[in-house]
Amino acid sequence: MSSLVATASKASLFRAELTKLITLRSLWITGALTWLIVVLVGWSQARPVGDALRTNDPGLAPGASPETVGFDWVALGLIGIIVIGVISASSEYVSGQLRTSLVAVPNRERLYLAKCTALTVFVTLLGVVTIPLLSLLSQSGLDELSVINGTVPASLILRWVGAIAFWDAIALIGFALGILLKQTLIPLFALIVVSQLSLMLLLLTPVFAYLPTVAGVLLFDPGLVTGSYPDADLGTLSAAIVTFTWTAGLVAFAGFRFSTRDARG
Amino acid sequence: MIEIKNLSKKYGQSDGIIDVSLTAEPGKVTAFLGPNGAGKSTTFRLLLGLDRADRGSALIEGKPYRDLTAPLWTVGAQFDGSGAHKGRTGKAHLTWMAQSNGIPHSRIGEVLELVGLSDAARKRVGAYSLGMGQRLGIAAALLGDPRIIVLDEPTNGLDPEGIRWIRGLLRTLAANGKTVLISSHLINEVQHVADHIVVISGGRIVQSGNVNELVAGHDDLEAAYFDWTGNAAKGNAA
Repeated sequence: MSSLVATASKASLFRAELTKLITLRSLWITGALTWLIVVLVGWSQARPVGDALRTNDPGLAPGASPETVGFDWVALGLIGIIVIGVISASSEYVSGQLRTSLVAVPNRERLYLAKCTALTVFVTLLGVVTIPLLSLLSQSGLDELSVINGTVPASLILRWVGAIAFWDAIALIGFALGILLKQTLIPLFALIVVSQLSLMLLLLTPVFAYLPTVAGVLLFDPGLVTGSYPDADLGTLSAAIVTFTWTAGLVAFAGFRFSTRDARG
Repeated sequence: MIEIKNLSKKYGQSDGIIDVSLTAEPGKVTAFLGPNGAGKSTTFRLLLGLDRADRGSALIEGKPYRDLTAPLWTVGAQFDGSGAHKGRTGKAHLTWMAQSNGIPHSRIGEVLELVGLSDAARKRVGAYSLGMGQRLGIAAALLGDPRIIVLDEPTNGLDPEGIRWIRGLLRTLAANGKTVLISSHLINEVQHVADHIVVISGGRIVQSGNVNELVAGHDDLEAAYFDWTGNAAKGNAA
């Protein structure tokens, strides 16, 4: 038995948390819908956007370029990512689930870390099967304007990485808020509102560029922000630092609260 | 072996529990008896590291619960109900639990069969009756075939056949040398199953000992219980 006990390692804990995520129907339905909607919308808009780029249509979003076509739909998928992040945390606070989790894994720091890792892997996989496909489908509508000529340029791959990192960051922020507030509705509502209104907030002051929902966009499609708000250009490195600081700060604070407070679900 | 010594916990202005001490030994069913709100669940929460005590200690085989690695091999615990998210199936619930403690997958089928839930394993917990949820919670507690079993109000929601089944299960576990600690507010249930009782009222232990010895001099356990806890408990205890 002792050898079996020894197998209860960090890897098995991570696997348990991943099982928890994928066996929660609301999570994988949200993931599937996010993939479907983003890919379908991106595909249906590929040809019209390509035509608009070719004709310099004034109705085209400021900052749009052949390489960034499709990336504006990353923000549409963000709603699903927020739902996944928040629910992955708040699902612990229903039906006595948290009690069971802590009885199975009383080391709260390990449990919290395993949860964050499982969520990051889940969202990264979702991003990997969604964002490159969205981008490639969008490029297919550009014909001669497409940046893909036999090979995918490294700059486009970096945008994919940036967009996936953005999804990871926002999912973890949603998770942290779900842990802190121990519920679904308020963090869900707050994050969706902020994510959808953050570009408009830049009308008031460029300081809002330091919101993770704006700085994160600068990681993969700066033109989407700076095309209308040139003052909001933080640069890629600063945007990465801002996004990371928000994410790490909130995740660490929520982890501290998770580890130290009584487990009243 | 479970050893709780001078355990105290206050929640805001409520009394919580004060100086609770009890011991549960291998081979015996120890029942923690008291009216609703007396502090039974609070004591269990502190024992299992869910809340932090203000004072005192709660040790399982000499260690605080939080210091146990892969605790499901040592302790099986169940609180009121299944403790499972309603969106998961019973089998999925037991699967993540087994994975988290390195318990072989084959054990899931065994415990589901033991509690009579094999046919409902792939149903969502939200579709379970109260009794089925209770059985799932007990299956989870038995998953690691632990030496110590802690069950909070295990007969809640069970039908007469289920109550009879849990009595037999508890006696079998004790006969196999396990340490069994249950809480209940049902005097008759405790009398049927316990070797040792600890009575709590208003957050304090008011009586503790062998059931037969404690009842001596009273008509039955119910009469003894009301003597120990006072008339105030009559309204809560059944």
